[in-house]
Amino acid sequence: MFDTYIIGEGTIRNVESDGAVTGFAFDTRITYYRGLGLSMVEPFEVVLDGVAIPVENLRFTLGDRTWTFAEMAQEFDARWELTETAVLTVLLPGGLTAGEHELQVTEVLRVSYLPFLSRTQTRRRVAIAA
Amino acid sequence: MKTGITLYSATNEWVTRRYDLESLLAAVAERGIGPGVEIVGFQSIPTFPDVSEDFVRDWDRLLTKYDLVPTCLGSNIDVAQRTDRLLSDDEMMASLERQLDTAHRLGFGVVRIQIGANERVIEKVTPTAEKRDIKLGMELHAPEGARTPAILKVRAAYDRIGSPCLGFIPDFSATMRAVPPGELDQLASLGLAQEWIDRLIAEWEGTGAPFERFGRFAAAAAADGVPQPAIDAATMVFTMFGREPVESWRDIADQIVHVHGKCYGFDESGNEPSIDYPAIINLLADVDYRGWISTEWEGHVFMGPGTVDSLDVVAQQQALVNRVLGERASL
Repeated sequence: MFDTYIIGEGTIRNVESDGAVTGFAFDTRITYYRGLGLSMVEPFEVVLDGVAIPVENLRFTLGDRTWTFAEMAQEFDARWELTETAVLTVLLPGGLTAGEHELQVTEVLRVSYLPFLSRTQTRRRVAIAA
Repeated sequence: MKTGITLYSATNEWVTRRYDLESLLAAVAERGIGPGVEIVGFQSIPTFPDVSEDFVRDWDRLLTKYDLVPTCLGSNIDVAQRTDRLLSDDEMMASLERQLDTAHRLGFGVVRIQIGANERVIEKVTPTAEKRDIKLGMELHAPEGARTPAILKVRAAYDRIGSPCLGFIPDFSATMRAVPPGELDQLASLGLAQEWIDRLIAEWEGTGAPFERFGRFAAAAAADGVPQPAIDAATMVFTMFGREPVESWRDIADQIVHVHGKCYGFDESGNEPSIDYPAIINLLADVDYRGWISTEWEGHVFMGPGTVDSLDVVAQQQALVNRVLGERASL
């Protein structure tokens, strides 16, 4: 039921580094009923206009800390709380081009007592604000 | 028996940030749906399993201010923290002991444990629970129930360990009489046609273990071209809504340390179509259960944020419980 929070409405934006657009980002929330340690957040699956983004090009930010998903698998202290907004950044030189794009994101959680991964998917038509 | 709420009932409102801990406790008091308060540690306390001295002071202040009573703390052992292996028994014990310490500091006399805590871990943690005067209540939640094989093993372990701190928390999800209408509406919206909803209900009411019944449904539906998302979503019908007999609660009657009054929704007469409240409440009264019933509205699994006011549904559940108890008293 919380899939609408995977891509925060109206939060899609391009990100810059040293004056160059290096990718795009959006706000995201946990789709579970409680918080989880970051090691239990599996790599998100991001598909932009039908093309899967390699996991190496994803970054996860909580507050002022940023992780790759490989780093998150070893993160046993930091937690993603139920009410906490994280930012998912997709490294993509040039970022999102003008116009509409289709963005599909699957949030995958390793929830302890379920014998399978919890997968919640959403799809949105998104565009960078002019 | 005494009524109260688990703040988990307000999951939708946590997600939308309508309340923080204080304003939610204030709302519970104002609507008279306490005085018992249960929480899921990892939902309601951002620093859980640790809490600061300031948090403990503030928690005590809020309970006093709003005249509420801490009843049960829901613990969780995250056994899959690592990608390479599950937690060892000692790691699970350490995780649970940390949560017991926090429960004790917050004044909870019962800690909810789940089937993830195996018999060895329960035995290791028992001395700490005894020292803290905390009862460990294993939640009996669908697809498990008082008589299912996994729980029979726990009951045997309890008999062997023989501590007064070990008990159970019946969750009414284990003994349901129908699939909640809201869940069927949700499946219909995902493209499950009426004939397949009828088939789903027939399998749900049929014989065999829950996963067998789901397997039969899923195979037939897939062969007929039913959309896969609708089939996947139907898993929940077999894992979250149990078909154990209400009478099975008698088997563990003297080990009940807390109760989860699960509910999904109420009809115009104030009845819960999917759960036989009169039968269950009368049984609990028959066995002289005198503890707390936490109202646990879980309709958020098919009715997300903004659909209903969760606390209104909690009040409906408590009205029904009180009606059944009132009718009983007037006999």
